[in-house]
Amino acid sequence: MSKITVILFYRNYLLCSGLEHLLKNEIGVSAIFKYISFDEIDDSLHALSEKLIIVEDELLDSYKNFIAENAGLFTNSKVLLLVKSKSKNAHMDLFDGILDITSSKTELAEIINKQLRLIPARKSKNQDEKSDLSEREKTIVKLVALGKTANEIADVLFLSSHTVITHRKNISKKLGIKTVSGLTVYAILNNIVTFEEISA
Amino acid sequence: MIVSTMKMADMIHLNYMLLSVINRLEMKLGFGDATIEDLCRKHNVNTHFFLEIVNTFHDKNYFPQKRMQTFSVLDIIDYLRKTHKFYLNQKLPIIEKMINELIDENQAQKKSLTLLVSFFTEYKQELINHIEREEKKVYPYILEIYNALEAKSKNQELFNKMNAYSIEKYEGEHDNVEEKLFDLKNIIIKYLPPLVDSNICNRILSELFKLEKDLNDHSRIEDKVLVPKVSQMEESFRKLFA
Repeated sequence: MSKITVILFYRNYLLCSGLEHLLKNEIGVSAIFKYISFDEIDDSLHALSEKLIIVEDELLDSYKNFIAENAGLFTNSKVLLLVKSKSKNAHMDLFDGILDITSSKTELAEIINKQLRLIPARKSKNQDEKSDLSEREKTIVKLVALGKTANEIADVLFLSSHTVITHRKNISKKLGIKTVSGLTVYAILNNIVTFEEISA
Repeated sequence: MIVSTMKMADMIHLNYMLLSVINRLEMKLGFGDATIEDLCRKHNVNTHFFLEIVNTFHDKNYFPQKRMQTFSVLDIIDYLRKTHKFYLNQKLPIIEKMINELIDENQAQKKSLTLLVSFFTEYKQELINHIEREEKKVYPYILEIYNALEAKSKNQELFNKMNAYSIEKYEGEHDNVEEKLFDLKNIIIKYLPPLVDSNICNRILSELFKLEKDLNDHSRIEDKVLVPKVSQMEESFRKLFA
């Protein structure tokens, strides 16, 4: 199982589906995103780092324009070109490798696996998976449970409200709980706050 | 993709979640080998409408629009109202009953479980508010537009209302009903203390997951079928004033 995200840029639905099947069932990639043009990812450009990106040759020209405008975007990413015939290999300098649709399953899987191994795993990953709240986060959960707003919490703890909001987001991510009432239930169940304090 | 010549029985085998759609449209089981087209005709349901609903429900990447002109917004609203009734009269009471059962059988953890009950009650109230907002505000507005179009009436008051508050805005107003349900699941999965009987918990969770899926499919029908349809109607209504 690879935890790397793969992004496909495609024109040809059948080709893309075949590739998706290969990635899922032969290589074990679970996170696959598909786009039919580069315009679609305007909002999430930063999401292109540390990924495996596969571009169908039909989109070669728009890919060239895209990287000309967004140089350095693919930090630590690998980019493969999906070609329908071997003669199109003229643009090798732009890509880390070529996927030829006439290759066998094993050959394709080898090329993809090789690139996947070259992509560094995200450093923050371990932190994300640890669900223990820090002392600061516990304090914030307690204040949230007591009904304080982000601004009020910021005042009490001498933080900017922006920092409080960032803490709130991290807490929600760690716990899997997004709403104020959900956090309140969590806080009581984990003795961060008592019933009496809340009803007071 | 689900098409009109497909057998209804095969459609259910393809995706049993569609049973709830069939149920809402008051199509009874015992389909035999009848096709979707046959049964729609028999039950007086517009086939194009039926196909848009089941396909949107079944495939989250499905984009309806081609057949939009061939059925009435009244069909969609009628369907959505039935869905709301299904949540209020069937789904919520079932879950509530199971949660009460959970408390009865785990008296030792009563304190923690009371929290769960009050959280669920809050969720329930929010879902009810959400539904009421649609039934009392959004649908009547759509019906007004529909009637004005039918009568070709240049209702100035309605025109002003539309300019102030179009359907796109209505549906853009998301509340945190979805987030509450997400939290409810995680509280049960991750944070409740171990219980004497976790079978009920499993049943509650399985109901919550099903409810969540149904709600997601329901809101997809609002976003992809209802909203575009009403936008078209608003456009036609605007043209009356041109």
